[in-house]
Amino acid sequence: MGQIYEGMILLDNNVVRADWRKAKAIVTDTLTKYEATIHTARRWDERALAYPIKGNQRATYFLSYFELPNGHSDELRRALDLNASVLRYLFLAVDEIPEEESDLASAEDDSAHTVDAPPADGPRPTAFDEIDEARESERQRVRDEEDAAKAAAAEREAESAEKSDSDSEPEAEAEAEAKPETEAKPEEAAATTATSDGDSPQES
Amino acid sequence: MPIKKTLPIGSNNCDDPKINYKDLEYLGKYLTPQGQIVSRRRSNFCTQCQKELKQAIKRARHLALLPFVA
Repeated sequence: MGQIYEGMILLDNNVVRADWRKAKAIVTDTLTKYEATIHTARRWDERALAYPIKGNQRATYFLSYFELPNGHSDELRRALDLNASVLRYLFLAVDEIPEEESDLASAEDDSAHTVDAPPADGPRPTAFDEIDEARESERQRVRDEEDAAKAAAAEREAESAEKSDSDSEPEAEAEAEAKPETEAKPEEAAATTATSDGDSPQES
Repeated sequence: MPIKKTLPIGSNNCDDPKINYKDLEYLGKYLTPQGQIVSRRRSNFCTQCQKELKQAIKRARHLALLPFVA
């Protein structure tokens, strides 16, 4: 008795472009070689990768549910590691196969079913546009919040500066009034000394 | 300095359907603009669901469905 696995395998688009059936056979043959019982196998999607893998910007995702006897998992993983057509893989142990999966897989097994050739590799295009837009709007929202916070802080500073100016104005006036008196005092003192100095020689 | 409050994403998220690494639209909601997984305070998940979310996002990253760093 084995365990049911969900396998998601990334296939090189160059192999898929040549022939989808052959590309599918690469994986299914590998699985059957290690005594796996394949329940469903289908093309999940063809999409741009979030980051390049082995120089590929795009890849085809192959989804399969299969039952593997105990102890064959490591051998299967090693075989897929050595396969140049397989970019990545992920095996997950699952309890049961989803209901809709068998319908989707049988639709692909139909002889009339054709798979579009994947587009050529290029700069990362459409698949992440929505995510990028959402991220950009999030960044813009954060920027707006920061600007609003800065503007509010600047207003608060300006208000506090105005308040401090209005508080310090009476003191400044008082100082200004007090200053001439203090400045006049030395002059008066000098004048008095000059007169006293001037007077004294005449007297003598 | 006061801690900046951030609103949680949705409410009662644990009632959502099972988290799956293939559901990219759903997982994308729980990533920051830089591609980091949001905290439990922000995601509003219970401990178990946050662990499942983390695992699903890491699986999607391994398959290049989601970026490690945006």
